[in-house]
Amino acid sequence: MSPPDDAYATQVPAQPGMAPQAAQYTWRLRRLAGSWLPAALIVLGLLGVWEGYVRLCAVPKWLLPAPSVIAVTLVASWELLLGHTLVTLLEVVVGFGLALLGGVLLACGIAMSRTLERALYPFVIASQMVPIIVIAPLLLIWVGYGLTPKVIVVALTAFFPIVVNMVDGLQSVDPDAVNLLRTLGANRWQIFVKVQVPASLPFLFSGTRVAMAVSVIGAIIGEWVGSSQGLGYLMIRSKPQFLTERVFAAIVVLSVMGVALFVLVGVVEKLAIPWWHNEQRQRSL
Amino acid sequence: MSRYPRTLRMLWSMLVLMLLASGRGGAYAQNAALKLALDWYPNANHLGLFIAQEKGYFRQENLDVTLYTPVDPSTVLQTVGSGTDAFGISYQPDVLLARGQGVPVVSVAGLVQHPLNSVMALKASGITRPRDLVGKKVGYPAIPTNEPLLGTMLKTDGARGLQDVELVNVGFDLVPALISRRVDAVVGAYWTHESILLENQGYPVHIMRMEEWGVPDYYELVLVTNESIIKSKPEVITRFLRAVRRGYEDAAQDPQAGVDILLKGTKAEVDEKIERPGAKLLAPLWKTDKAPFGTQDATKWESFTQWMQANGLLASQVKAMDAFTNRFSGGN
Repeated sequence: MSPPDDAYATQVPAQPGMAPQAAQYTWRLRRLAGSWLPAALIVLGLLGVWEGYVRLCAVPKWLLPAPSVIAVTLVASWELLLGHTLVTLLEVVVGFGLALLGGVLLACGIAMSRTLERALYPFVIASQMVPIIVIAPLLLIWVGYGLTPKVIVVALTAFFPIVVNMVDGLQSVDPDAVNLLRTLGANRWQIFVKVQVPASLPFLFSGTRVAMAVSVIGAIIGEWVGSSQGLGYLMIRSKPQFLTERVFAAIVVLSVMGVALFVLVGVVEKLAIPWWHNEQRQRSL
Repeated sequence: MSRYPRTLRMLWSMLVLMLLASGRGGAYAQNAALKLALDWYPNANHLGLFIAQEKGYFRQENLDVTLYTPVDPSTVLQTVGSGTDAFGISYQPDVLLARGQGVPVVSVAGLVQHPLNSVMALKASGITRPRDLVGKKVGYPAIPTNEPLLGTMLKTDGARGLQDVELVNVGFDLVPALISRRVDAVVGAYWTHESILLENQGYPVHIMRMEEWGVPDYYELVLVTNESIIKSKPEVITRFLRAVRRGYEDAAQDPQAGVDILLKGTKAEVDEKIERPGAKLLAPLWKTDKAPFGTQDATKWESFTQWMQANGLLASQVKAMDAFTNRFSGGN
């Protein structure tokens, strides 16, 4: 397998008067710009339209604050926002961690035993049919008003995509590979560890990324129905005070946090299963 | 009634707000449809409105009125402020908070003469006065106004203040929080609603009323409109209030007949076992001492505004006298 750098180098168009190294650098820069620029332009464009609309029509800030007002609020109340962000982050991280652990174990069980699959899978699916918004207030009464109910809500929303994807992954193995190992005398456990688990990892990471995204929503739902800290709490508190710009500032922080966590999972994925990415890249070239 | 909305409607309301922003400045023609946003699901507090609707008092004033409960009732002042709804039912403290943020809403009638918000504890807990709450857990919806309300009650009864209790945001489920003993008391519940619900469930409660423990008397429910309607269509407000007044006069005279109309109007969505005793408790609160229905007392507005300012809830430039008007209530 050739290192990806070489693969790119061959694609660099010949640029007269430029050292190959520099040419490669420029090309990469352009590639980077090419991947981020469209999104950045759309965001800037939308913000511009928003700002222009609010200013031209003189929309009052309690109704719809302009992006500039939200930015000012973000800077002015960063300390307040940071404190609440850390609480929400903790809920997400702990809840997500539990979901990952529980999800992976459950998926392994389901993939290894037909009986477990028949016994558990229906409940895994049923768990997602119960609206979390109905469960969340009950959790408060059952387990109290601290961190625990939020973590449970996060874990409940996040474990489902992890289990489903990982089960699919574990069951997606190449039968030839399994047969080969079997003829070589591998036992059930060896096949599971050496073939099924590696094959399932790309699936697991897809599920994990979805799980990460819904974790943030789960944390907000958990805070919405009863909390004393966190970004969701800050929003419900700011709303009756007509501090619409603060609600928006909290939404911005929440979105940034969600995107950062999503990207983080992507980075971990690249480090954990580099072979998969190389394969994908080769395929696309 | 924990006046705070059903649940995860925040993002929706954001969307709604954006849509609203584009629909500002609607016209209010003479016979145009008027919308009135209720503060909560229809209940005994709204008897006069349902009576006016059912008996045709609005129609007789050439008004086509729609009563509705917003998806998120905490947005009433915003939809009224932006002109999407001509009228709304809200709370005196919230009207002041809204004006502090520049929302151009004005109270045109006081519907309920005293606070309904109260502190409640189960009779079995032995808590009978604010002082008994020291060292206990008090549940509340995360509404900032509730904090100094409780603080004032505690101080009035000789405690140091809020630092003596543990406040727990229990969201909108005040009653289950109390019954499950997750908290020792709740603030934010109405003594004309939650208390009845609790009694009906077999949990008698002790009620501590705000105005009996040092909080300046205020109007729990007020009828609001916005400044531009007051300027452009004062006669519509006058006609509207005339119909509302007739409705509430009927309701005060025979609250139970009013509940019959409410049950009919809401297709029995409301709980009769709560609304009947609720209406009985509310009937005297609709009547003002001497002035016509809805007439507001300037000292109530002034003293509560000062209390809010003293407790850091409200900026000092907010003027109580701008937040309400008696122009339309049949007085001067």
